[in-house]
Amino acid sequence: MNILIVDDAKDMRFIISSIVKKLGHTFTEAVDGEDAWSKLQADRFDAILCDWQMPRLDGIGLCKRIREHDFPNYIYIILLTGLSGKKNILDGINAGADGFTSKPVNLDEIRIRLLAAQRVVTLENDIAEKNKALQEAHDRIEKDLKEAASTQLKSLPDPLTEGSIKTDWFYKPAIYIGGDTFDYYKTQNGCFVFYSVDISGHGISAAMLSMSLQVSLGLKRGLYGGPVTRERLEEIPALFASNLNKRLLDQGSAHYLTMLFGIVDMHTNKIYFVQAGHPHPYINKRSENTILPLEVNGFPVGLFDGVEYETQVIQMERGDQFIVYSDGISENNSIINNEALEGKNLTEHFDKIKHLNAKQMNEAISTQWLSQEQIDELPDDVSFLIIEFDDPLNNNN
Amino acid sequence: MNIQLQKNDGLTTATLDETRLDASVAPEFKAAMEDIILSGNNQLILDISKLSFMDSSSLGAMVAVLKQIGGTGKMVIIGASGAVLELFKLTRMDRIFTLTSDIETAKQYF
Repeated sequence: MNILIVDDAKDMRFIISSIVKKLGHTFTEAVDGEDAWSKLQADRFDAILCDWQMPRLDGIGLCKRIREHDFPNYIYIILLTGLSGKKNILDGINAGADGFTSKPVNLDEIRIRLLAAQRVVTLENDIAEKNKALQEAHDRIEKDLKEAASTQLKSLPDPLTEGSIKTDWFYKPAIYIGGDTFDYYKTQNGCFVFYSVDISGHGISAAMLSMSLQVSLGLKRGLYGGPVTRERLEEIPALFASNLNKRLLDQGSAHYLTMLFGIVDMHTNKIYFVQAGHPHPYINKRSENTILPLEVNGFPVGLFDGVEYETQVIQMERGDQFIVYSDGISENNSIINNEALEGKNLTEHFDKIKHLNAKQMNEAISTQWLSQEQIDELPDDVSFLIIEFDDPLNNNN
Repeated sequence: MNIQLQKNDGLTTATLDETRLDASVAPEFKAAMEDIILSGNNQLILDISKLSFMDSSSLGAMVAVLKQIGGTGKMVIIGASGAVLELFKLTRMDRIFTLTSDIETAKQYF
């Protein structure tokens, strides 16, 4: 060990340093607490053998200063005590001393004290090394997750204005990356295909499944049972859910998912969709001045073989909105009334913002319903996808 | 995971003494139920009347439990209400699970 010997008496420093040297340690001498303090800044010491009473800064003062300072390694402090009595020992311990040795000093006692010091220093160094390794691993994982989060965010589609439709969304995963996802695209024959998916559970494995689904859901062959034609709009959503159900069960995935998958015929503004265990979508009807959940139920995807799915059809008009979201929002209390954002309370919240356009609505959700603190520590992924309707395309488009 | 067991005439009633089931405890719930079933309790009434919140991960765990007991035994759920019952309906799990409101009705299924 590298030891700092602190004593204002030259003869004492001489005796102690010869013992320390004999015991095979390296050492530096300091003449009082202040001198020791400046030497501690310049060099790394494992232990200190320190006198109690000294001018300028005494042993207790030095102990306190060392413990208040954040040294990279643990410094084991042994106070030399000529003073007797429990009170003094207690003061020493409270100030941060680890051990005591009485004056006059002798080789055997210092040997024993330094053995104890060695044990603690080794343990402390070992812990510090392991903490450092853990911290590095933690930082690396966090950096990876942040990059993954940015990749996931980039894979989501931009807000879109196309044909009779305008979209806007809000998406925030619980821990960097999430099991929620959604996507949409326009087909060449004036259809708009969209889906919102929530993989059960969250975290890395849910996010990986969500990313891989996002790739495969966009590939029309297979799951869609053929090309997206206007004649097949009623058939496709239910078939899609059924095919995906079979695929997930065949893969033996540990996850299942809830989903709302739909196709808008932009020539008629009819939505053909399948509801597979996803929360009830909200319909904002401008002409009736209402915003209400559409209470259709359906089996989640990937739980049971052979369950049946149904395509629902609804007619939308200019100014109407179709709001799809995942159930993550229901685990948060609104900052407006401190009640869970689900059921009737969620409907009342939507009712207050029903006059807003899609973009403003998402802003209201993320700023008026939830606080920044809630958004930073969401218990589950939260996503909203809002589709806003304009006049249908005429048949020449 | 607090689950109280009561056995009577070859029927086991497992009462879930929790108010929330979410992703953080779903695996624990599943494991506890699997242990109960493996200990020979395959004629099971699961009382979830204390439960006020359940998320989709826990629903998945409940389905796994149902699948485990399915081949040889039977499970009836009592006391699903409020948001929990809504979740069963939303996901059509009310058609897969046998749900009843009280224990006397539940017993008639065995």
